[in-house]
Amino acid sequence: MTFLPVTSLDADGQPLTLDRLRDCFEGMVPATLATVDPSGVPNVSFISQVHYVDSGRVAISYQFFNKTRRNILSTRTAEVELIDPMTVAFYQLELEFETTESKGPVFETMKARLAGIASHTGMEGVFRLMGADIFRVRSIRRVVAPRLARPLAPVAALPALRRVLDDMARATTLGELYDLTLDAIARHLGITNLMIMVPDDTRAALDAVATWGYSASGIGAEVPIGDGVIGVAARERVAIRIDHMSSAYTYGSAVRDRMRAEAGPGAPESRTVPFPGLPRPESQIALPMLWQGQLTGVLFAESPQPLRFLHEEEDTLGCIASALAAHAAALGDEEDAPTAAAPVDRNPHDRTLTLRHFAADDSVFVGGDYVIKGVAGAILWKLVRAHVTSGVCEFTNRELRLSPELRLPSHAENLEARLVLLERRLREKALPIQMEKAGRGRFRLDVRANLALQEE
Amino acid sequence: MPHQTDNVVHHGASAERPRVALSDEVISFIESGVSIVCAVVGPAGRAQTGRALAARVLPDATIRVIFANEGNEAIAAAAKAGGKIAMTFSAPMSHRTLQIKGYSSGLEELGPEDDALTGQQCDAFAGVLRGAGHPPGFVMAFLEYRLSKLWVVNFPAHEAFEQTPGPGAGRAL
Repeated sequence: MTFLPVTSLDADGQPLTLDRLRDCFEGMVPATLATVDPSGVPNVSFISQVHYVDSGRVAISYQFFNKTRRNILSTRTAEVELIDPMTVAFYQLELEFETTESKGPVFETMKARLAGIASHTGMEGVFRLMGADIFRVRSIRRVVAPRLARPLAPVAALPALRRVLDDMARATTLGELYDLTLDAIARHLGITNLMIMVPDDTRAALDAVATWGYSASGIGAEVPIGDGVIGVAARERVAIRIDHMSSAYTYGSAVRDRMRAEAGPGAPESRTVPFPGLPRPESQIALPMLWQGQLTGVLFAESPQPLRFLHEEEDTLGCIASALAAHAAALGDEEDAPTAAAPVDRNPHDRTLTLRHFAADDSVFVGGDYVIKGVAGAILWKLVRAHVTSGVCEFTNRELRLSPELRLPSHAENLEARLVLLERRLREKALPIQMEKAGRGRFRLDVRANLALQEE
Repeated sequence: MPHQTDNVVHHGASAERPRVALSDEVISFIESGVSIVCAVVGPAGRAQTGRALAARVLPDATIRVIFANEGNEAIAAAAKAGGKIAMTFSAPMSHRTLQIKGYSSGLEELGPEDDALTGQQCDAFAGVLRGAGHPPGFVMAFLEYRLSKLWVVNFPAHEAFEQTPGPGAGRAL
């Protein structure tokens, strides 16, 4: 349960609330934590992280079992002093200890932020989050008035958010929604390195289905659930942000090496698409797209600048991720077209394309060239087999949804996302097999080669 | 729970307690222009925090701390009442941190030496903050409260602890 702790007014006569103090929680200036032991002896320490939990609670990183920790557990009270890095106002918060969380969304959010702080301050390997100590805020006092005017943000978040949402509302297909959203974020918010990842529950991974601002599109690049800011945001269904890059959250060759190793001996050289991320990001943020309690994707942004995404950007991108999930659900909720006699293409072609399928992960290759895997790979394999067997080249979403071999998750929007991913991979590989929409809930496979299929 | 009367009793009892011998190296660290924060116990028995500007160590291991009245009303009240004080000194770049505790022997006005000391240590700390990447406007504003009413708190170093983050934190000096 949350509450709004309003205990005093600032000089402008405005109530002091945690929401108004959010810049203090960015970790730019270390906070001070005062505690007392049962015999009345005070203790004071610097703390690397005070985390905004909600409008009535904060969390403090528990990293070492020390005097501070013992005092908190025994007297269950503390006071923290925060300094606003923009205005240099000082605030003191009286705290009542509630509980310690050692897993879950708050813990993971703090763990990521702490990793960034540790990296920035040369304390990697020393700072390790053992728990998130959750405190109810009993009162807020401003003890030193602001000395600097709050700088104006380069982008006014609310009007920019409204323009992004207006642009998103123009989308008529899921693929268009993805592209319009990233384009709008780049234009209206000035965030220019972006991705939308969609989950494939059958292999506990997310695949890039739309990207913006990279030299290679990276469509089909994957991130295991739980890896880096994207994977943790997906697993915990919470926004994960890092302000200074930490090796603990870096994507790169380590992930690729591991995937290659997991593919096993004899596997083709590479069955992944390189992650298109920035070579040296300093700030990263990942926001879960949730609809009806289901994870339908992750919106990701990054920047070479440290501290690029603060609370305001997190709130703004969080609204966009929510809207993206809702629009995607609406666009994926197309009425299924009835199964109808499909056009048949039996014309021979001049060239032959050899497709190979690995059942272990449903990966599909053209010769030795990786195309796709997972649910999207299984869909491609089903389509080409149907085409080779009966010459059929038009399909409905409904028949895919009902197909037991595809092991589709129950939520329908995931199928649409898989089809967008497949269509984009085929286009990017410039293969003589392409997909195009053929009406609501229906698409066409445009095959311009004789297909030879090999089950590996 | 402790209250003001308890603190006064503690103060009286503390006069005979042995003081921690601080090494020259520790004294130099304390006086080098570091970040100084403090805690006291308020009348309701809750810890209260504050921030100091400068410190020096007298030959008898008394810590003499200069702080601004602004933002430190709780510290001033506890110090005046002879309450126990915890003072933590930290170098932001190296993270070296130590904490010293003792009972206050009251509030004093600044002497001429204190003024000069405050200026030197604040200037040194400003350099550290700039080196840590804080913008000049922030650094100037952060240390601006040294221009407000300043007080001195004296307390003997009855206990001293290593507090640098890591396995040695909490070890008595």
